[in-house]
Amino acid sequence: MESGYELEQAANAKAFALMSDLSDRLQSLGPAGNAPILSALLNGTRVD
Amino acid sequence: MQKTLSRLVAAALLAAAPLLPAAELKPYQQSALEQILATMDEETKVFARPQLEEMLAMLGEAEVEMMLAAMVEEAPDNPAEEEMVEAAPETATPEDLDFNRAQFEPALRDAWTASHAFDTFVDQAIAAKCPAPDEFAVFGAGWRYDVAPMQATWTRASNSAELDVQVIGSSYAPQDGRYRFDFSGARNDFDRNAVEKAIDDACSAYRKIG
Repeated sequence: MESGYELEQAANAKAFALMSDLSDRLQSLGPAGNAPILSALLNGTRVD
Repeated sequence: MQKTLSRLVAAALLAAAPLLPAAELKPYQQSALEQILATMDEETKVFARPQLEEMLAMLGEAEVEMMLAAMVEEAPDNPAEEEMVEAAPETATPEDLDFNRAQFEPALRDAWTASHAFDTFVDQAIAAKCPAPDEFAVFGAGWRYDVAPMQATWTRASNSAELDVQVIGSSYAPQDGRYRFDFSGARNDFDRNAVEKAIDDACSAYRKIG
């Protein structure tokens, strides 16, 4: 039979996996943020 | 190289603004950290490492690649080239800088508004759907433990749109002439239903632990 400590370790491992998955999902579902703007600023076309 | 470092410091300031828990670096982030540190002297490395680690931990792979590409692009092939470039810097007129700013400022403000709305929406959804810290525990025969509180990390908006405009405008925006920028890649919306479902699914699974 598993001890309370072992069950706690297993439960927290599952919790952290869920948090990691959710973080990845949120990162992909959220707005693009500043990254495309920074890219555009670095690749501007000089007009003068 | 000084421009590169100033951009990195600016990016670190932006990244340090939101309060996020420290995260372990992924392999591409660790690799970028080492490449950046390799460009610095020993004294600067000590100072810059914690900020860079914090900044890189919040950047996605595409953002890290973009930052490294900018570093490579700006790095001089040899010291003589650097001296030559620095000896004859081009400067834009105030009208040129206004022309550039009129393009990037609205784009940055729109992006900040969207990111801030996303942050608020996610924070509220997690608070509503997941157990609060210390609320969720598992009990057995003579023992009890708390499961780690449900948290998520993503690239949050900085403290203000003004901060983005000031920092990015003085670091990433070109200062040597008049430019046109293509901001069509900016995506400032998000699917609230999809976000809510992702949080709902994660919180439901979280409640089943134990």
